[in-house]
Amino acid sequence: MRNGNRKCFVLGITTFIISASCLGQGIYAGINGGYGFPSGRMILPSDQKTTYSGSSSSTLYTSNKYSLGKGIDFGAYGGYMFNKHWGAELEIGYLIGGTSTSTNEDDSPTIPSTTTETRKGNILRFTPALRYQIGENKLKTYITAGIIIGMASGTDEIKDISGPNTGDNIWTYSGGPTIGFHGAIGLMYFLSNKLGISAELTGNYQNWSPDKEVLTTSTLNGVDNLSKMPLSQKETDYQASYTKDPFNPTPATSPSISDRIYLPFSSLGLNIGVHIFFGGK
Amino acid sequence: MKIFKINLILLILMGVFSFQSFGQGIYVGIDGGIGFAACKDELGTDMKTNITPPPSNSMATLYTSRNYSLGQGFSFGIHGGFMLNKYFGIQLGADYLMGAATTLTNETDTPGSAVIQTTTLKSSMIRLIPAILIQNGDAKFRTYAVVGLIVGLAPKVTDDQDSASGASHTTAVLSGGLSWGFHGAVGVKYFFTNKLDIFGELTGNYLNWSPGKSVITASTYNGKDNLSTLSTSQKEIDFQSSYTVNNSATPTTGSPSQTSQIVLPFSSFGFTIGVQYLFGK
Repeated sequence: MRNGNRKCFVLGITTFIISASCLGQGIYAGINGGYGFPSGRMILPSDQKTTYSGSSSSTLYTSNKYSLGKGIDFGAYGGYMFNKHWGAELEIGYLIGGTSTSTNEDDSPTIPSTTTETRKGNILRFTPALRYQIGENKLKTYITAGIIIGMASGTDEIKDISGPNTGDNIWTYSGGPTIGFHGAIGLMYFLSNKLGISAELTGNYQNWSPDKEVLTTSTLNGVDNLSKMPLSQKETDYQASYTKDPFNPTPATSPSISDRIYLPFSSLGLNIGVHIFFGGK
Repeated sequence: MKIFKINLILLILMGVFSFQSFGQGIYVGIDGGIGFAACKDELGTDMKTNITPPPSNSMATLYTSRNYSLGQGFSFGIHGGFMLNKYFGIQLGADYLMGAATTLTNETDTPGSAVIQTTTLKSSMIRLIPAILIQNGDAKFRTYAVVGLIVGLAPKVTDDQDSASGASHTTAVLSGGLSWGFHGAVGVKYFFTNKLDIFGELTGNYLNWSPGKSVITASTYNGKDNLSTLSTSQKEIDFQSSYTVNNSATPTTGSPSQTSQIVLPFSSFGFTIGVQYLFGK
């Protein structure tokens, strides 16, 4: 029975693909991958470098901007061409985010210190999009535009080396969907009627407002601090609206509550891919 | 000089007609629309505190997170371009963004009185948009997509702060710096005649802005001007990508303060309608 169902399913799909092809339309699918450079960046704490000369000191501040959207991305998509120009598709992609770092160095002759903050994010993106393509021959130009629904995660690590002491704290951000916009312009070269290779400029524009921040690592000179901390110091719930009463403070056994924050996940990048068209000409 | 002008007009007309003879064409249009906030960042928190005196003796504050983009508002502009063939065109648009006001409120209510502080941000920007247009068909209805860059010129944000229910008022103007980002649109155009069409499109503009300068232009307390009592360092801030502070020296008050760059969101997603005239075939 199970085997019979499977055969029916495969037959159904095949019939659908062939019938779609008969109408001069067609199903298509593909895989792609590339690199996204940071775009729509926001502020990361400035780099600071304090140097000493005799009894005076000076600090050099350098602005830092970042987006967690930078990094390597790859994905797969499938869609349907309604006619030779317009199609609708769904892409599922994953971003392995690169790191963004800010550094605060103090070359004090008594206690030199260095604090490094490193942020990193990953995101699973579902992108329903419209495809618009032109071109009669082997080479086609296309534009895709759509909405990104993302499920993101991120980490923020602050490493503090002060004299002989080394502290390390890692916060993890999670929860809260992110909605953004996707656009791409590309060229596709068909090696045969069915198989093409593509190269495109891709833009993904979204910010992420996480629901929760959890301190997952806290050590001083390699000794764990986390177990000594109450929950209110380890966990923060980001809320759109909440009420606080100083006469009835939130107990230390509950997560802290704070205003929503936004983390940038935008990128502009280059993707290459392989495209298979199941439809007719 | 008159001959030069006549020659210039003749040259332009010859250009227009020579383009037509190749089946290509110049087009010009006007457009206007509305943009809603996209790729938002956190603005701050609306706070509403209710204080009840003894014997009830309670104080509760409602916090509401506020996000914003200064790109929301109305825009209107002109554009012109050249169709390289019936599918491809290149164009340059220029529009003016009249940003909508965004207000943050901090209100404290006690029996018989209320103290309200507000911060209101309002933006404007001229956007130059060089872009590529691709379209299908030569019927009366044509679908098209546009992708391009945005160069934000003369960006300006007015930051009005009213505190203690209007007892003090400060206006700061942020300006300077260049902004650039990305533009995308998908739309439909309808040709009334061979030359004249109307169009409607979904439009996305994605850009952030790092202002170069902030200047307090008005400061009053109980209606009395106190701008003249402020030093230059209190009135003006230069946002720098890199700067050095001598920690041993007394800060000078006769020159603007220096601080790290900030980033303000100017993204939007909206609708645009317009009219276009095609000089070609």
